[in-house]
Amino acid sequence: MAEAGLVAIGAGLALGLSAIAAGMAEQQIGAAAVGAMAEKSETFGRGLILTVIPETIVIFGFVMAFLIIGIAE
Amino acid sequence: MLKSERMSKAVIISPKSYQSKIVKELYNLKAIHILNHLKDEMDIGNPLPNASAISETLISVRAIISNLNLEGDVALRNGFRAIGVKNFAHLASTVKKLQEQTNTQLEKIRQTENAISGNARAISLLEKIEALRLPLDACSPYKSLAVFAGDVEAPQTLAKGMQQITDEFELRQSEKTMALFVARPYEARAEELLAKHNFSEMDLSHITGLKGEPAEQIRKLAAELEKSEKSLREAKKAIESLGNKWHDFLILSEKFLSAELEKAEAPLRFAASQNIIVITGWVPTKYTGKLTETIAKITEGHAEMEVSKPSHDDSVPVKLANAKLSKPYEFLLNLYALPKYSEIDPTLFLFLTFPLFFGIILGDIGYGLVILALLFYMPKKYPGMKPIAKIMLPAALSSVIFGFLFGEIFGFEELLGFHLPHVLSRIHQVREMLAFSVFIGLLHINLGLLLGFVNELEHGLRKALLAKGSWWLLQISILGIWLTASGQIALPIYASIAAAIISAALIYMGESITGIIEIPGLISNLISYTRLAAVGLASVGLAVVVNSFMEDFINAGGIMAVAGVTIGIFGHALNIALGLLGGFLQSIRLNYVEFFTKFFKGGAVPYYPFGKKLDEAAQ
Repeated sequence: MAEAGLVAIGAGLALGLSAIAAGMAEQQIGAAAVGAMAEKSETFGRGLILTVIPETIVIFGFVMAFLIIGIAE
Repeated sequence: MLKSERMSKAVIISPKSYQSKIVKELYNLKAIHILNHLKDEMDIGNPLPNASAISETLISVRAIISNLNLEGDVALRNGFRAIGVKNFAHLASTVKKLQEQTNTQLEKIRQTENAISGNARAISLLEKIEALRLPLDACSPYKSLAVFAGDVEAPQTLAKGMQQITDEFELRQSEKTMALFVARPYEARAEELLAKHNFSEMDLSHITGLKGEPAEQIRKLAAELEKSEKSLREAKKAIESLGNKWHDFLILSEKFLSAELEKAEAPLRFAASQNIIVITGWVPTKYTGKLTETIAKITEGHAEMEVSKPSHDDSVPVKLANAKLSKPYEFLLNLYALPKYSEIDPTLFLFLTFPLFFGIILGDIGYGLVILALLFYMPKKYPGMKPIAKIMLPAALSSVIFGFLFGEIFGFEELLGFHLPHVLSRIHQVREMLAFSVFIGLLHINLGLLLGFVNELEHGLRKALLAKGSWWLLQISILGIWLTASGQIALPIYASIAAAIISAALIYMGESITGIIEIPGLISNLISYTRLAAVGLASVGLAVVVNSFMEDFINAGGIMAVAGVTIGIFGHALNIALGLLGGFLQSIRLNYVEFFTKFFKGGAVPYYPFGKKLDEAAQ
């Protein structure tokens, strides 16, 4: 039972920390992208792409969390 | 369908005498995207003779529009008749008259406003003098007396200060305002004392010439002020009624004249010599026949027109040509970039994959139906949402379809005791969902590589094989390594590793160092598609949480049941909003980042035919 708890904590850390990392990465890109968009509205597409690139980090975190749970089972 | 509208380069050479006729016809045809001529051995043309008259009237119209603060839009149809004038001269004279009327009223407003502010200042001065209990002429200069009138600080100590200088003075005070009369010999010292009290002198120029009691003058001025205010109100009303009366006329004239000016100034974009003009531009190939015919007809065969196919280094303007269903998705493409003329137009693939991804992420019968309902209702209330609604409609349908496949309705797998059948359960078969997502990603990425291959074919088969084909070899060799390592096929593992190294070398030859850097990107691209499962799972998770809250509250009964229903409605509304936003962004991102980077460069100039402005004005 205690082990199951540790597995859950590990999975939570994998997802939670990668979400924080993605947030930190996206905050500056997002600010810069909005700034660029205010000057030139046609940069929306490019800005969106650049902003969401770090989002993949969370997805990696999710996959890791899932694998951790899978290994424990 | 996979390429943008095919274009031809047209060069029209005509005697100058047909210039205005040609301009008029080209404008009506709305087919040629004129290339501006840059001055070389041939000069640029001169504007048509009526250009300066048109631009003068246009400037007047714009000035009136800004003076009358006109806003709003009116569709321009039927030229002069819609505006309500007979011809250009009539329009110009009407505008001139209107401008005079406007200017008269504006001048009246300006003068009245000046008078009002002068009056108000005089009244406040008079009130101060009245408070000092002085007649008006007391403040005018004397031979033996110096007069100071104004505001001071610490007025209570002023009299004492003066007494130390002399007794030959008289001081009138009312709060901070004061008037000091002092014999000339003491003027300088009195001034010094006043400076210590931060004396600020009244500007009496507003009341020069006024005599008698201040109170009487105040009454007089107040009456004048009221009159001025009334005439100001009248002038403003006159401006407003001018604006109301002439609103449509002015807005339409502005559009009409802008279009006319574009026509009149078109020769500035032509090449011209003494006797001939040369117009170069791009025409959709299907219109070239009609254009040739028209030009021949209006110039009675005196003009020459050459039509040629675009060459490699031409930067051809691009007009997307998609079928009715996929056309709304051009909006999503335009957010990214317009494809180059030689490139494949990926709109069709957006139309196919965007709803697919959206459906997988937000696959829920209930949510899909709610979004469908919103899509029917919202554009009726907000017409501006129409383009987005057209994009979202297939996506919402896909949500419903995947809802059936996943067996979910508002996060429930079971409704009123009836268990919804499912092909794949997102909640219980997460591993399968992840594999399914990656599989979709594999197909999508390879479709991108295939499109890239087709795009590269323009530079020859060798280049296409090196740049894109090498990626397929890499994928096959990775598969080989995996299969041999897990013992599923009996092959020396070195063969697969060697193949992988060869494909990396080929990638380097095809796409140089950036290609090598992209190799680990292939894996992260694939994992990136697991967002289809992950974001979807988060959405289901939230729905399940809302439902379990709701059930607990409802089971508690009574007033709690009402709270439960409220929680259910708000919870699911929030989840739908999040799902819409997330589903939209993730679906478009997989296209932009993972898919487009495999083949799409973009950056073409949009096709803007001469005369389109008038079309836009009519909307």
